[in-house]
Order: sequence, then C-alpha cells, then structure tokens
Amino acid sequence: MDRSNYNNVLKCGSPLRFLNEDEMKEIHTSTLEILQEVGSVIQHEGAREMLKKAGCTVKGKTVYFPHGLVEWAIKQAPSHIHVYDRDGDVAMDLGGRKAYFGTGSDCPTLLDVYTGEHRNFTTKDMEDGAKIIDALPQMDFLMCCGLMYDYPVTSYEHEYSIMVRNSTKPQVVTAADRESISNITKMAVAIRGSMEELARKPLFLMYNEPNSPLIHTFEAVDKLIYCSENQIPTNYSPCMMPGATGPITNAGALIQGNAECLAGLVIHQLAHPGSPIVFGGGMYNMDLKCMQPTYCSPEAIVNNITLAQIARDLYELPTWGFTGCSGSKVFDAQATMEASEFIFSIGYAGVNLNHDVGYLNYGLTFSFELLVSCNETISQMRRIFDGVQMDKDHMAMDIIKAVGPKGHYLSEPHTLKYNKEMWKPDLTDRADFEGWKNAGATTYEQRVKARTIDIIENYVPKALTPEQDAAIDAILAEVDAAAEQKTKK
Amino acid sequence: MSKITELAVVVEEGRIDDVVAAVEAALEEGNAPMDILNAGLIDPINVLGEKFRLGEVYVPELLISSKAMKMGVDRIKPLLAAGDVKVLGKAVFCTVEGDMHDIGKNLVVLLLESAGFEVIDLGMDVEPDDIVEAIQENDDVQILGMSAMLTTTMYAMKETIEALEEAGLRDRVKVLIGGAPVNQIFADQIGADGYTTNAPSAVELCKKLVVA
Ligand code: B12
Repeated sequence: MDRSNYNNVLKCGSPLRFLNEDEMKEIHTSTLEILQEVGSVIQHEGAREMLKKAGCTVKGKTVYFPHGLVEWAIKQAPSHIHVYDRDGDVAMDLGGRKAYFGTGSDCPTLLDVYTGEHRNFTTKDMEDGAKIIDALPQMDFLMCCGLMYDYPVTSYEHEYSIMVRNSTKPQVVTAADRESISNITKMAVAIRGSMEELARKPLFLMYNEPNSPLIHTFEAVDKLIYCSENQIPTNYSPCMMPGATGPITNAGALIQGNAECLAGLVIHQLAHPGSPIVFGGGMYNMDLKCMQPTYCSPEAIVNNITLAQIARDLYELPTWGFTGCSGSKVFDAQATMEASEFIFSIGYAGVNLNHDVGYLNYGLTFSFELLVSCNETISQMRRIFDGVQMDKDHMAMDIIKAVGPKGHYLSEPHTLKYNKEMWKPDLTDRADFEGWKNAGATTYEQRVKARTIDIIENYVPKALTPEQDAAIDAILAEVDAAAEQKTKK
Repeated sequence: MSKITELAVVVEEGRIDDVVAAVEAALEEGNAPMDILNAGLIDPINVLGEKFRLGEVYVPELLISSKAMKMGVDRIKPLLAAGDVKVLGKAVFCTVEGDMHDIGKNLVVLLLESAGFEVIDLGMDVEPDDIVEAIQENDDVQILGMSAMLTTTMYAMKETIEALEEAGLRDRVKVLIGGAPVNQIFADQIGADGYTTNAPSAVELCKKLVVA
C-alpha cells in the first residue's frame, strides 16, 4: 500500500465528462443571465459598496452583476494552488486533474467504533480522528470530522489546535466568522513563523458557503474577504438541496450553483485580485419523502463532477469535490457502496480537493470505520487510474519472446521487479479459503474495525516543537478568555 | 360525482388552476359553504397529510395541495360567518440566534399550516428578546417552536427559556425544540416541553399539546 507508487495525476484517455464544450458554455451564459437579471442578495454592506464601485447595480441588498465583471473575476483567480504540510513541504498541487482526499467536517455525532452507538462528538474523538487521518496514507488533508460539544463557543479554534497537533497534513477549516478564522490563522502563523510565510506556504484552506438560493450571508462574505485580503486559500461551495433550495433538475441546479459560486468569486477577486480560490460545490437533492439531503445520490455526483468540469475546462480554476460519504446510519454494505461509487466517480473525473470522506447519515454522523475503509478504496482507485505504462520494459517484449508459448512467468526477475508496482491489498481479503478460515474467518467490517482501534490506541503522530505547542496554548487561552467575556455580557 | 367530491379531487391532485372554478361549481350546485370548506377543502388535505406521514406521497404533493386549499378557502371566506374557519392552534416559530438553517423550520411551519395551525414565523437568527416580545404581543399563542442546527447555537434555546421565565411568560406557552444537534436529553435539561425529529411528528406533537 505504498502511495508513492501511484501517480494521482489521472491518465485516462477520455476523462469522465457529462457536457461537451458547447453545453458548458450554455451553462455559463445562462449563469451570466441569472446574475445580471435576478442578481443575488449580499448581506454585507462593505461588499455591496465594493461591487457598486466595480459596476454592479445595487438595489437594497440585491446586487446585479454585469457579464464583464464576472468574466474579469474568472480571469484574475490563479489556476493552481500549492498547499504545504506542517513541515513546509508541498502536499497538494490543486489544479488540473489531480485528485486529493480528506475528511468531512462538523458532524454532531460519532458512530462509536467500540460500542456501535451514535453519540455526541467530543474532544477525544477529534484527537482520534486527526491521528487516524495522519496514519492513513491515502488521506491528503484533514477536516474536523465533528463539532465538539465540549466547546460550544470556541469549538472551531479548539478543533484546529487538535488537528495541527496530531497531524502534519494540511487542513481545510470551518469557522463561525471573521474572528474565528483570524484566531485559526494566528495558530497557523505560530507554526509557520509569520503571515508572509503562511501566504507563501499555505498550511490550510478555509471552507465557506453561500446560502442557496442566491443569498450571501454577512459571515460568509466577511470570511471570504478576510481570506482574500490575507491570501488564505478558500473555497465557496453551495450546500444546495435541489428540490428545496434549488431547481431539482441537474442543469437547473448547475446554473444556480454556478451563479452562487461566481458571485462569491467576484467579491473574492475584487477584495484582492489574484487571491487563491477553489471553485465548485455540492448540489445534493433533498429526498422529498424523508426531507433530508442526499449527499451521495447519483444526481448529486453528476452535479458535483459537472460543476468541477466547468471550473477546470472553462474557467481554469482548481476544483472542489465531495466524496466517500453515505446516507447509511451505520458502517455497512450501503455505506461502502455509496462511498466507493463516489470515490471512483470523483477520481475518474479528476476533481482536485475532495472532502467528506467518513460521513454517514448525510453529514450528521462521522464514522472512523468508513474513513479507514475509504483509504483502501482510494488506493485501488488511484491504481486503476494510473492506467497503463507504455515504456519498453513495461511492454515486456523481450520477456514474452524469451518465455515463449510453453513457459511461465513466476520465476522471471521481470515479474519480481514489477510486482513492486502492483496494488497490494491491506484490509481486502485475498487468502484461499483455508487461509482465511485459519486467520480467524473475519469479515471486511471486522478487519476495518480492528485497524481503526489499532490506530486509535497505538499510533503516535509527530509532535509540534515545545515552542509551537506553547504558542498554540497561549492563543487558545486568549480565545477562551475573550469568549467568556462575551458570554458574561 | 357531487361537485364537493370533485373539488376534493381537485385539491388532492393539487390542481391550483382549477380550484376556484371547482369551489364556484360546488356553490352553484347549492352546497352550504361550511360543507364545501370541510369536505371539499380540509378533508383532502388531512388525507394527504396522513399519506405523507406514512411515506406514500412526496412533500411537494402535500404543499401544492395545501396551496390549492388556501386558494379555495380565500374564495369562500366571504360567505362564512366569523369563526367558521377554525384554527387548531396558534404557534410562534423561529430558528435561534446565530443560526441560518431555516429549511427544517420552514417545513415544520408549512406542515403545521396545512394541518390547520396559525403560525407566526419569526424567521432565522432570532434573539431571545425578540422571541419573548412576540409571545408578549400575541397572548393567544400556545406553542413556541425553536429550531437549531448547530452545536454552537443550540444553547440559545436555553437562554430563551430563561428569558421567558424572567418575563413571567414561561407557563403561557409550551416550548417545542428541534434540529439535528438537539435530542430528548437536551430538551429535558433545558426544560423544554417537547422534542421531535421530523416535521410530521412535530405536527402530531403540536396537536397533542394544544389539546392538553
Ligand atoms: C443546508 C445546510 C446549510 C445551509 C442552510 C440553508 C438554510 N437556509 O437553511 C447553509 C449553507 C447556509 C449552511 C451553513 C452552515 N452550516 Co450547515 N448544513 C446544511 C445541511 C446540509 C442540511 C440542513 C437541512 O436543511 N436539512 C433538511 C431539513 C429538512 O432537516 P432539519 O433541518 O434537520 O429539520 C427537520 C428536523 O430536524 C425537524 N426540526 C427542525 N427544526 C425543528 C423545530 C422544532 C420545534 C421541531 C419540533 C422539529 C424541528 O423537522 C425538520 C423536518 O423534518 C446540514 C447537514 C444535514 N444533513 O442536516 C448542514 C449542517 C447542519 N451545517 C453545519 C455547519 C457546520 C454549517 C456552518 C457552520 C458551516 C460554515 N462553517 O460555514 C454554516 C453555519 C451558518 C449559520 N450561522 O447558521 C453542520 C452542523 C454541525 C454542528 N455539529 O453543529 C451540518 C450538520 C453539516 C456538517 N456535518 O458539517 N448549512
């Protein structure tokens, strides 16, 4: 399971795409029509003023975007974002067709791996989650898995401290508002040494979202502007539930979703042209019987991949994806089926920054077992899309001629040499029947559970330096004191 | 088929373009406005509401039919005596301070209205003081429904209950809470009168609470 064997630059001859170029342009021009004619509600006065100065029509809180401004903004944003790990090495090159994977954030509950219960997510769970992500070779970045009940006001800051202490991998963070994202930034600065270093080698991206349909809340816009001004990479992903907060059809959801992303992009690029932003979003229909969002419905997968395709092929921007999640309430066959379908589709399509691995119960419950299981799926997927190597040695003409019709390949050095490149099962069983029986006749679920517990109990992540550790503690103390002051008032 | 039965079919099928004509046809046939109201407009919604609860129809079917019912009610209202259109109960609903998640709350409100409740919807991100004020101003309100979707905002429900106590209004309303991060334990902790996990069961609970 050596990740370095496989290239995450996908090499398929015909990448998965549902729209041809003309159809993508049709979505784009329809989006422009919506932005200019219907506009968007921007609940942030400063942003409205900025947009007005840039040529938008503003009536009350509604802003109407001229085509030219939207197309200007698309051209300003960079096509690649390099994100670095805690040690300062490049961890992700977001752009083109490279696919990276990370967890989801903020679930209220956890599926307890020991008891099988759904229970409130706590600080200890966040530590376990960060360690597991750090230990899994296919996981490229962390999101906070759950929102900790122990810190009702300052949970985002505490989650960040736990993530950065227990893993060297980069993070995608959620935050309540400008204050909480600036507190998180302070902690990242404590790791990098200065704001300039953090901008040069980003350690985290911020997660942000509009409010469908076509509303941009004060907090969301304020955080967008903060990130842009400080060169902190961010996304701006709709959480649309077609059928409830957007049109139920794929094409309609794409047009509205694109309009929401583009309105955010314009604000972001006006605040500081050239700042890094990841484009794309979730448009997962509401199930109109149970009234819950379907994170991984077939339609949701098509929407996610197609908006990313428009972003990459038409706008030349890094792309945002969903993956590895399920509506199932437990870690079962449905969970692995849905998560795997999404992982393969997203990998095939080559979407860049893919989050929500480990989500059950459409984002309300986190499962460490699903996360560990997805690690295995992602490694298979990466091998599949690594495709066929076409150099002389791989074509093996000499060996085919030497072995001839009646021989075999088992004792050929060529076999031994290239066996190193073959995908190796880790939790997947390939034993013969007796071997499987003698090893305990375990199911995949049992092996996943054992591995999850093993990591929780035995994995030791690389620690921060004592100076970094102390700096983080000082920031947290300040943050908690400020929050206490506020609640007293 | 009598014209009232025809009207009930129009409502059940959500044919909003035909409903006013169907009400007029039922009137022309000589039916009493009260009978048209009950058998032609309200009954089919109750049937659909029950079907929805059982997972037999989709939510837009219920909501579009409710829209048709309201259009029909508007048409015959002038012909009814004051008090003929009965409301099951009156409630104030909101999403709590700091929280922008209003879809779940909206669904509960829509289903309550289609079941015959009158609901004052305060919207989202509503401060405890504003909730207290709304209850003060409407002394016939029996139920307060609060929704929160965030671990960081659910404590605003506790603050609101405390504010109600301070204002001496706690006994006047039944407090109902809902949303993903809250549960029965939390409801008990903060002294709420009820908690449910979805909109149809919220309607059932409201019905029980106004009778009690
Ligand atoms: C859509 C959505 C949004 C939309 C909301 C749009 C809107 N107008 O409502 C937007 C994009 C704005 C949003 C923003 C955020 N969100 Co959000 N969001 C969701 C999502 C995907 C669906 C919520 C929803 O509408 N569900 C459908 C409705 C019908 O279900 P429901 O709300 O549960 O309501 C039902 C029942 O609960 C019940 N009910 C509801 N209210 C009441 C009230 C009473 C009295 C009763 C009896 C019953 C009842 O009946 C309803 C109908 O059956 C959830 C994930 C999820 N699966 O729930 C995350 C989720 C709730 N969001 C989350 C987060 C973290 C956020 C943000 C903080 C993200 C960020 N950093 O920007 C912001 C916060 C903004 C804010 N200040 O509120 C987390 C919550 C984490 C936590 N532990 O607190 C969730 C769980 C996702 C996740 N795992 O990250 N979000």
